[in-house]
Amino acid sequence: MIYGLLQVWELIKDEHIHYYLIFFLWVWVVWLIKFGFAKRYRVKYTQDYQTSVSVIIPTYNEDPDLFKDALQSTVDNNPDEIIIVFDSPNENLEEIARSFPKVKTIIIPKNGKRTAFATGLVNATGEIIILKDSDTILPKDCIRELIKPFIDPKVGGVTPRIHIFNPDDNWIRRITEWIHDQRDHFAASAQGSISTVACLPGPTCAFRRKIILGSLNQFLNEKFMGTTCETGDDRSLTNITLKQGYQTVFQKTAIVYTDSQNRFLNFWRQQIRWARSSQKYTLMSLSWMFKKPKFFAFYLLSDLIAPFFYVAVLIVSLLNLIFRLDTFTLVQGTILGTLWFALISGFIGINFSFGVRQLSHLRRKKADIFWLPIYLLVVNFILIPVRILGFFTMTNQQWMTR
Amino acid sequence: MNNKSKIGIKNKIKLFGIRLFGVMLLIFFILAGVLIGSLKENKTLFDVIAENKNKLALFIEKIEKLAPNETMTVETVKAAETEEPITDQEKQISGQTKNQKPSRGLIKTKTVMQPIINLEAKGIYLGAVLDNIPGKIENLFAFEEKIGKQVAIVHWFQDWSEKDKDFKIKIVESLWQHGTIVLISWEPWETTRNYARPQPQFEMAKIAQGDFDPYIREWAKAIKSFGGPVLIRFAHEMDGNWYPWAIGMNNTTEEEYINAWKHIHDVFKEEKVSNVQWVWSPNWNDEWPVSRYDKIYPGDEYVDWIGMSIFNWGTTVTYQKWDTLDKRLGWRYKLALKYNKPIILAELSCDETGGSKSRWILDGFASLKKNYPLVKAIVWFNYPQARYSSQVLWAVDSSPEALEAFRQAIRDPYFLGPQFEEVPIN
Repeated sequence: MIYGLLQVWELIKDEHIHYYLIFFLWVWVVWLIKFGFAKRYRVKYTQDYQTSVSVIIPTYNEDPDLFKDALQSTVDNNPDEIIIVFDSPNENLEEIARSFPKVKTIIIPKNGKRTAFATGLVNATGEIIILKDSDTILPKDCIRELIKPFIDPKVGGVTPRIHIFNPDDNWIRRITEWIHDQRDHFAASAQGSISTVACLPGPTCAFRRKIILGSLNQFLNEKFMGTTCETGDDRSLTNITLKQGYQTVFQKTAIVYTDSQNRFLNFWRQQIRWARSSQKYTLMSLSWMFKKPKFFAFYLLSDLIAPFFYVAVLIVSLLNLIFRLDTFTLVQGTILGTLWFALISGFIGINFSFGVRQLSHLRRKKADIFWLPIYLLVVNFILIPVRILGFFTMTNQQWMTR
Repeated sequence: MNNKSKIGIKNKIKLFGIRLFGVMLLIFFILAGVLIGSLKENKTLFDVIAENKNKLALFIEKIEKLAPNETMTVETVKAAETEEPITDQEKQISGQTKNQKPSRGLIKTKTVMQPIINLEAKGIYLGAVLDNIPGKIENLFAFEEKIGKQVAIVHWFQDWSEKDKDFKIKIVESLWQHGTIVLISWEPWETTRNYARPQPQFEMAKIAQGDFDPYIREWAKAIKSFGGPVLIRFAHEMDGNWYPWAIGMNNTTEEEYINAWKHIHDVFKEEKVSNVQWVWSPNWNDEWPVSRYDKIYPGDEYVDWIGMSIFNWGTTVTYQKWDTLDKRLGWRYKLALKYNKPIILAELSCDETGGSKSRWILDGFASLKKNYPLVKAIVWFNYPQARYSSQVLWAVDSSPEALEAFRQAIRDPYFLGPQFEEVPIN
């Protein structure tokens, strides 16, 4: 932060702008715009909507206890229909499923999540389809809240708030919960404020059946640069909905609880999978994203470019360090000019700048202030670089965590 | 998951396009950053690479040194230097073929790198006046070690007296091997502590009428046979009242001074010496009773560099005071602007008493870079204790803080060490 001030000082004194300062300003301007939109978000739909609802749960290798609890919570929500599609037979889980009288089970040979979902879809009868992961728990009245927006015929898809259950069990769960909390209160809120949410995430999302049914072939045989799309089914469904002119909305009053990775390796794999499909689908939506509100394209494209800018700033800083370019003439020869001071004060400064942007989260979860440096490191050294890696390997289709 | 299906050439191209876009995006942001960084340093990435080319050359030499090779490299000179006295080293050099110019070498190539003064280069050449140079070259290596950078120029004062009047070609050559170019303040007197004592045997009129021609011609020939660039600062501070060659001393008139200068220049020209650069270095008296600087300017075709002596005397000497570099240099620089020649601060230093020497250095050097584009070389006057002015601490390491400040200031690549030029081997 001291360096930030120094940079401003040099800007005024020497009329020289540091690259990092440009990056810093860019981050803040983009953030402020997005934040402004997120602040404008209001829950629009509060009236109950009476309709028929089918819940489809594609299932593959789940922990039996969690599977049972999650299923029980769904049954308690009392939808019209629950269809479990087993992607390859699993006797243990099938038995649990059969113990719930209302639940339909379909077993298919192992063919991927998309096929499992499609199989459920063609067998479903409800006007609204809820796609739910087998590890996601729905609290009471969750479905009732979730389908409220469909009272508006323009709405094609809805996403709830997504939380991690037992977030304090280990640091990965804690960080994952933080990431989800940010997604809810920032990304989903900002995009929700213009009723154009770019991704209705897989743990739980609701669609109008007719929209997906009309594009089922596209959904199943989607290709990107000649490779069949396997992962990113949630982004795909969202794209189909948006492309047909429907709105996708964020219903903050509906909350679901889902499981998280517990091991770092799996966390990493999940992140790279998300990075791949997120950027891939952003590119695929290039042809129509500008027909949506401008903020939508701004959001997606700034997210696409940001990691490149960030990594470039890191590289430039390193180059400057090696070649002694772009130094601070004002502090040369004082303790302020030493590398250690730069690194430490820089880290504190970044924490501060970052912390301000995380204030709303920290207010919701005060204990996380101690985790801020960890979260910062995860974001800066995993979440952002992984997007670059994802960009160059975006045709890779492995689930890796399934 | 059947993803290995045929992608098709068209898609491969598209995919390549996307990846290329990603790479370009990254490169774009990096270049933008480097460019913005360069704006501050007033130099581009290419300059930085070019600068580091010398380091690379040195590095290659170091590696080649490991392999047995007859040709001498900088490191071998250095090694010989540090272990043995100068005379041995001179023997080593004189062992080389006479007509072959000493060349520092990227061996096994058809060209060699030679140190030059390139006025096109962005930056200020760094130099030093050192204790007992040209006596002990080790002092130069020790100094360079101390300041963390190789200097481009080493400056010494040499008088015309019988004691030590020859052009020290062996030393100049071995310095050149090291990458260093010499600046010699060529003083027509016999050095004495009693400055103002007239020395009639060295009258400017006598020089102008050819009394010293054999001696001057000897120098011209020696410099020509050396072949590398040499800077000569003849009869400096001639508008002061302390040297016998100054206007008004030894009965010297302004006209005689200019004639002497021109005469020496002409003798060198007759000997077809093209590797000498003339430094005209007055004290820049604006309203001095002795003479005004502009009345003793020999003329554009006789002068290559404009020289200055910039000292912050501090308060050690009672009649002096602490001044910033800007204060000392600013008005002189303005006066010198009209000649539109490269400027060399042939003597530059600061005392310890009366202010912060480290601040003086840092601020001064930053200002040199920012405000004085015509200044192309600076020479730190690094006598440990002033030879001629008792208690003033001129040396760069007069205190650890001063040394650290100096190291830091010159770490800026704008302050140039030796620059090299590739020339073919004959």
